[in-house]
Parts: sequence; C-alpha cells; structure tokens
Amino acid sequence: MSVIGTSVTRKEAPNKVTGRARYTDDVNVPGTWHAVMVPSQQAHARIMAINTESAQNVAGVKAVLTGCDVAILTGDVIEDRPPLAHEKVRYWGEPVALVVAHDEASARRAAGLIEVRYQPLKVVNSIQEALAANAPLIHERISEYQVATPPAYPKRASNLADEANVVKGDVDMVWEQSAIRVQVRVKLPQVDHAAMEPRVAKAEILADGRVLIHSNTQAPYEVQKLLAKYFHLDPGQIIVQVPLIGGAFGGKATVHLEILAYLASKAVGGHAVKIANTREADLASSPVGMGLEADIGLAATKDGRLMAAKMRYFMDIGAYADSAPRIARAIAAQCTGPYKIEHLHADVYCVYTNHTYTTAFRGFGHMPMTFAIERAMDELARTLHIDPLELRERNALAPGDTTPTQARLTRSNLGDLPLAIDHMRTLIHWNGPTPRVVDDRHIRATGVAAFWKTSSSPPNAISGAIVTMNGDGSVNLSIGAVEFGAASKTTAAQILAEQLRIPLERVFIREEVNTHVDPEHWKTVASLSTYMVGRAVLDAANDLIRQLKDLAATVLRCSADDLDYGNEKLFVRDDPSIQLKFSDLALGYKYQEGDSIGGQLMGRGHFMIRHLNLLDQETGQGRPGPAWTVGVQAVEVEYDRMTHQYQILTAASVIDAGRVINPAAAVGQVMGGMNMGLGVASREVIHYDAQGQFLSNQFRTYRLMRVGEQPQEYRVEFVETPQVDSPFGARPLGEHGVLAIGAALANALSSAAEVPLNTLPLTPEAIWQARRRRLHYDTV
Amino acid sequence: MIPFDLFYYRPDTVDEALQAYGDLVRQHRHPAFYAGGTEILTRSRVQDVHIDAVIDLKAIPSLRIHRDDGQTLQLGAALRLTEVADLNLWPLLTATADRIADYTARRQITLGGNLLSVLPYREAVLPFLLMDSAKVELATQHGLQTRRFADVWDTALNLNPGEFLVSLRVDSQEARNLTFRSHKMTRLDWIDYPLVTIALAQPASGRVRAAFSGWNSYPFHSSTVDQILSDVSRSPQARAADAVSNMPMPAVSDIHGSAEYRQFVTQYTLSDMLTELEES
Repeated sequence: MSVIGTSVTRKEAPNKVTGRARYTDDVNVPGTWHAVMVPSQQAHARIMAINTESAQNVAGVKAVLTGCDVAILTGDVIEDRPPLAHEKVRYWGEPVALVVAHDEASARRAAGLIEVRYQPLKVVNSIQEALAANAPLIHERISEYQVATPPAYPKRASNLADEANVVKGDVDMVWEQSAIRVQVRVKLPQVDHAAMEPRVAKAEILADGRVLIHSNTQAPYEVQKLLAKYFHLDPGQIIVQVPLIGGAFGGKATVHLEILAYLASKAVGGHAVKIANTREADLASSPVGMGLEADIGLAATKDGRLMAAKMRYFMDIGAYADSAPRIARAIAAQCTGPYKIEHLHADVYCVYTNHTYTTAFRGFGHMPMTFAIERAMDELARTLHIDPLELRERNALAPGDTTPTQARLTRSNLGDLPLAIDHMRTLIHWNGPTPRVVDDRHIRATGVAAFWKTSSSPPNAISGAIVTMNGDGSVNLSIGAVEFGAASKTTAAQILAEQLRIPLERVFIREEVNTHVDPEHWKTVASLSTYMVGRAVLDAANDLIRQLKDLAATVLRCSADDLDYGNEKLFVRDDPSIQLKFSDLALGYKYQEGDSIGGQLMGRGHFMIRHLNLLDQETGQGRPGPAWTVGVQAVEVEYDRMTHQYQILTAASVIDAGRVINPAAAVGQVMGGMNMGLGVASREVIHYDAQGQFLSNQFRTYRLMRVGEQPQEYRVEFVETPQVDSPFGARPLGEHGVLAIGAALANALSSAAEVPLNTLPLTPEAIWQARRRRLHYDTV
Repeated sequence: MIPFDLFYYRPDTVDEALQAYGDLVRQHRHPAFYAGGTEILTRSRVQDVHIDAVIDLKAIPSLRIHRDDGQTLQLGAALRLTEVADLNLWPLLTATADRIADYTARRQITLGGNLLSVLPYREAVLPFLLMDSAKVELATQHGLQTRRFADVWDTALNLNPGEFLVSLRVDSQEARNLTFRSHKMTRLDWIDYPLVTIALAQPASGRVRAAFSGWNSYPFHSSTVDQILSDVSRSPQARAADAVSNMPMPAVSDIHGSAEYRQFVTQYTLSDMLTELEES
C-alpha cells in the first residue's frame, strides 16, 4: 500500500502530545549564563549616554555590552541594522544594551538599572510621515549601506529602503480605453507572528575555536553563514543545532538573537550564554510582520474581462530592512493575483518607519497583497453586477499565459484555479454574494477570494538528504529542514518510504538539525520543503537503491539491471526466489565462509532550484519561483445590522495541492492557516501611540483568536493537478491557508454591511466607522 | 520570571497580618497584601511594581467567609471569583464577576483583589455601587471597622496604608429583591477588557440604578443617569441616548475602542438591557 496519499501521524506527535518533546529552552547545560536585552524606551532618539555602572555592580553580572562595543551592521539584504543600537535608536524596544550575568534574575535586575539618556527625535510614525517632504531621516547614512544580497536599491536621503517595479504591456493606453475602472485603497497594520514558543538562542565558543549555537531558527545554515561573515569565522567552525520549534511563521527566519548570543558569549570569554525572549521582547524587540497600504486600480471590459491594472504598494517595514526587499519583489511578481492582466504597472515601496522592524510573515507578503487585489476584484464584481466567483473564474490565468514578470505558465507550474472554484461552489452551496435575511437584525453573507503564490526563493537555493542503513534494513534519514509544526520531517520520511517501498515505521528521521552533520537546506521557509527536500530525498533514495542493487548483483552473480526490489528485499526480476534482504546488505554482505564485502550503505541526494532569476530592475521581468499554488477561499458570516457584531459561521478552502501526501496533515495545515488568517483579519493589530511606543507587547493587548472564537465550521478540499517536477506531483501547501481568507472575510462583511471594508482588522468598530464615514468609493 | 527576591508571609489571623505589615514597614521594607496574585505576579515579571514582601491573606478564615443569614449577605475578600460564582449567593454579583478575565484567571483572582485592582475595570465593584446597604469590613490599626461602601469609595476603595479588606456586606433583602441585568461589551472577543460593562438593577418598587465600568478610568454610578433611565414614560432608546449624553465624565479612547464607539455601544447595550429589564 502506498504511503503517499495516506493520513499518517506525524513522527514527533507522540512526544508532543505527552509533553516529552524538547525545545531549545528545555535543554540547559548547567552553568549556562544568561543575557538580557535592555530595550529602548524611545522610538526615535539620539543616544547621548548610557550609564552601565550600577548594572556592572550587581552581583553575578559578568559583562555589559552597548552599541559602542559592536561595530558591525547586519541584515539579510541591506546591512542596516546594528545588533545593539549605536548612536541612535530607531524603534521602541530596540536593544540598546546587553547584560550578561551568572543567572537570569541578576541579568534582569541589572538590565533594569541601566540608564540611557536620549535626545528625542521627531518620530516617523506612519508611511505618510515617512514619505512627507522634510520627513526626518531614520537612516542618515542610507547611501553608505552595503547591499549584501542584490537586488535592492536604497534611495539616498530618503526613508525608502527599496523599490520594486513591474511593467508589462501598455497600461496607459489600455487604461484610458477601458469601459470600467475601480479603485481601492487598502490599509493593513503590522501584525505579530505570535508563535507559541518565543525566540531563544544560546552560544558557546569553545577553546578550540568552535562556536556552538542552539537556536529555534528556521534558517540554521543562514545563521552559520552570517555569523561567519560578521565575525570573520570559518563556516565550519560554527555548529548550529535546532531541535523541534514551537511555531515559526517566518518570524524565526531572520538572524537576530543568535548574533546577540554570540556577542554575549564572546564578551565573557566564550562561556555558554543563553538569551531567551520574554513574550514582551518577542513582540516588541524581535521582528514582526509588515504593515501595508496599497492603491489598486483595475480596468475591465463591461463583460468583466480584466484589461489593465495600476498598483502602488507601500510597506511599513519598520526600522530595518531585513527581508523586505525580497518581500517587495514577491508582491510585485504576484501583484495581479491569479488573474490574466496583460497591461500592468506596479510599484512596491519599502518604507522605513520608527516601528518595530519586520521580516517574513506566513505567505511572504502574499497575504496583504492578496487582500488588496481581492478587495478590488470584489468591488469590480459589485460594479459590474457579475457573480464574484464567476468573475474570478473568467479571468483566471491559464497555461500559455504569462505572469506579471512574464514568466511562462504551464499546467504543471500553475495548477487549475477554475477547477478549484468549481469545487468551491459545491462545497459552500454558493448562491452568490447577496446576503440572506435571518431575522430583523441578522443577515448572512458569504465572501470569496482566490490566491496564488510562488516561493520567491533565491535562484541558487539548495537542499540535501543523507540516508544511512541500519543492520536490520531500516533506514535513517537526515535532512536540513527544521520541524516547526508543518510536518516537514514526516513528509520527507513518507517520500523516502515510498521510494524505497518500505513501511513508514522503518524510516527513522532525525528530529533536530545540526549544520555540522545534516546536509544543507536553504531555509525552512516558502512552503518549499516538500519540493526541495523531497527531491533531494528521492535522489538519495535512488542512490541507495543503486548501491543495494550493485552489492546484490555481485552476491547474486547477476547484473544490477536484472534486479528489482520490494518488501525490503532485492530479487531477480524473472525469478524472485533468488533474493537478498536489505538486512543482508545494509552493513555489508557476509558470505557463508565469513569473508565479507561492501560496508554500511548510505545514499546521498541533493537538489538545486533551477531556471529562476533575479527580477529586472526596470520591468521586473524574470521567473520568481518554480511553480505556483492556486486556491480559492470563502467565509460565511452572520452579521448584526444594529450592532455590527458578527460571527464567522464557515470558513472554507479549496486548494490545488498537486498531490496530497498526507491528507490529515494537509487539512490541519490549511485549517490552521485559515484560523491564523482570520485572526489577523478580524482582530490582530500592533498599536503604537503618538510617540511610537509599542502598545501591544502582551497577549492582553495583542489580541489573538482564542479557542471558542474560531468559526463554527472549517471545510477543506483539494484538487490535484500534479506539478510534474515535484515529488509525486505535490505542490507547496504550508502557508497557503492564510492567503485569501482575510479578503474573503472582508468581502463577506462588505456585502453584509453594504460598505467597502478595506482596512484591517475588521472589528465591529471598524465596520461602524466605515459606515459612519461612508467612505467615498468610486467607479471612475 | 520575577527577578527580585520577595519575603512571603502567610498569617492565620487578621492581627497577625496587621502585625506583619507593621513589622515589615519598620524594617524599611515595602510590603503588599497578597491574595490571588494575578496582578502582583504579572507586574513583578516586568518590574512594574516595587515591593519586596507579600503578606498572603488567603489563610485568614474571616476573609473566606460566605453566608447569607436572611439579614445580611457577607462575602470574604479572599474568595476566588470562581467561588463567588459557584456559591452564587448573589446572582447579580455572579453575573458581573463571572465575565472578568478568563476561567483560569478567575480561579486565582479574589473578590477583594478585583475591587482593589490597579486596572480601570474592577467589574466586581458594580453590584456594590448599586446597593444602598453595601458595607465594607476593613482591618485597620484600630481593629476591624465596618463602613458604608459609599463612604470608602470615590474612584477606588480608599484604604490607608496597612489596611486591608476583610469582607463585604449587603442587606439580604436589598440584594435579592431586585431584577437585574449585567452585560459586558468588548471590542470583539468574549474574553477581553470591556469597552463597557453595565450592571442594571431595579428593586421591586424603585427606580433603575446603573453602574458602569470601562467607560472611563474607574467604575462609577451616577444618580443623574439613574434618573434618566427610570423615566418609563420615554422609550428605552431615548433614555439610553439621553443617559449616554449625561454621563458624569467623557468616555475614554484607547486601543480597545474610541470614545465615540464606546458611546455607540453603551447606548445600544443600555437600550437592550432596559427593554429586557422592563419586559421581565
């Protein structure tokens, strides 16, 4: 029986549900010292003086570091971020000092005694303030910054970290000629990843020069590379170890605490030091998800065919760029949504503000981007009196079309959105967007939205797999992808079991990642593990099968081509009674006379992304990812017309999964995604006050959806259009549940409340305010 | 973690508690009376409280009292909110207190702790603001003292340093012979701080009384608002609108909601509650 397409329990599940699973902060070597950050109490200010004397005098304090002690700038794309604020602070919560002490209590007490004298500067508290003429500059030396990973184009004497553009066709001419135009302006706040496990890192520098890092990072090999680069070490000296991670959502892909942990250890002679975020620090000091404001203009024919689009996106990236330039390009490359628009102009701006800096957030910019285009699509449907699902189906990209960046689409790399839309009609008993009356106060309305997403990975992303055999013929699998709840380890094990034709229980997969022994995987991001790791695992499996066959051929005195395998045996194809067990060969074959040949069999496999390129600066032309995942989502709400309160009754997704590897895990992943996307859309928001102080630094004030507040029902279905270059045809699925569900909620509520709702979060107050203002909403 | 050391005392009597406080002050320490701990612990974590000793009052029997002898309903300050709800000696208090925080927190939070919280909400106060007969029993340096609730309350329960709340009392008849409604309105979630929590009570023969939390920085009751709400010649909608325009202080704007939205929510909630109250 095939293990692909079968619901299997995740390998780590028994330990998780019994509380036996160990996370980074669960394993502590006795004698480890503690580092604590001192967060800035200003959003934008010059640092005049830092008095560390009282802190130094606290018993147990080993070292106090400030920005003056660390003369480096860090950053994934643009090197603009000092590990500790130097000369000025750029956001509330930015680390200005680091205390290392014998124990955590001493470190926290000492951190509370550090006095920082600030000279406040005018706070850049919004995108508008950042772009205003004479806006205060957040980075005065922006033109001197190194671009570590091109492309990125920081604009001198401005608050623009970068700009990405896409130009296709002749937008100006077609815009003027089009019969129907709609304009939508959306506004989304910054939000937090809110992983259950806060970020934590430990560092130790051994006497032999090796640097041991333990961290709950999504990017262990990036930690290794960047530490080597910043501190002039050999990459091989640095060993990064990552056990199970308690949720990541992109927030653990940036290298942040690892740098501080290394600096702390270095300051105390290499002693082991741990830095663990409190929830408050995890929210305010470590990076969050970007805010977005966007103007979307769509031009169409009267029968609802999209003709042209003009789009401008302004990302509130906060104080430092981190991965924003990559996200800007991801938005630009997918800005049309899964629709054919031949004439297009889109500009995406990365805007520095005095807010907490931002990094990747589940969906890599596609969630806010999708909100913008899908609100515009619904307004177009409303204007044209066309069924919103019909409008989306009519304009869906098809094989032979090209993307905004002119990448060619095939059935394999695109999937089948119209098929997914068709399934959705049945799944939610679609009757159109017109609300249904429940009683004199309550009405029900359904909103829909579609999405697409590709990986936006670098063109040279790599992955690897190593399979070793045990004496009984079972196998061990080592990969570089970490496990943060998306079943990446189990999926890899399933792929290996399928290819070796052995039961899943016979595959033992390493739960942790250790950069010293596990083959490199670019980063566990972008929903790419199944594709990239899976390809490497297939390669390794084939390598192992080849070795098994070669050894068996020698023993059985036949050609390797004569052999087939199954049930942990190799056998001669035309006479299966001539056979050897995997266990006869796993650690070498022993002849009856006692002499032996072979050795432990081990398969190695690797994979490298192909045919991608960096997007052209002027037109954006290029291929941003190996394939897209498409899908459609729907939300049904019951809305109280008097109070503007609402209940989410149903949330539904139909996604083209290519091939579902583990149905239970896939459904869970999509349900979790919908829950997260609905939380973001309905309630999550980071508040800053007028001085830029971060007000949402606890879960009392950063509101997540809690148990009991979720929709009454989730429905998930898949269609399967194989991505032929992916293991068993599977498409990326990890992030996608979040992508359009917020837009579907906004579309449902816009219908119900009879007012365009283009601002998140969609609280009853937001609906009430929108109805009060009766936002001018034009069909030009 | 709490990064500083705390002395912990657990007296068995009121006198021991007062004695411990006095001793600690004489030793130049900064003691706090401690009950559920939800505020002291969470504020200590972020070094937002400056204490170095806590005196845990939960083991003192008189703070755990709960009885209704038909004359007086008495509730000890160290009863947990879940205990108050489970005992259900006073349904109006149950209705109000049972919406504070979440169940896990209510198993820690005590009645006295909520009344003396540093947060603006303190919804357990609302029923007491509605009772003429409400009294507090305080432990003071001069022994136990019983005072009218109204004399001790302005925007908070005003206790002198070293004093603590022992129990609360209301007249059994007054507490029971009334119809009431209590509604908590939040930004969106079932569990959140209130935009406004409203407790309405109406004695068998008497006018409607209303108390509010969340509207401003402290819970309050206003006789002007009572008067407006009691004018049954007008529709609930009209009375609610009038009440909202005649609150003793403006509504606050904060991250939970704007002042205008608080007014809107308060108005429709009051109107709904009046309708329910008068139909029941």
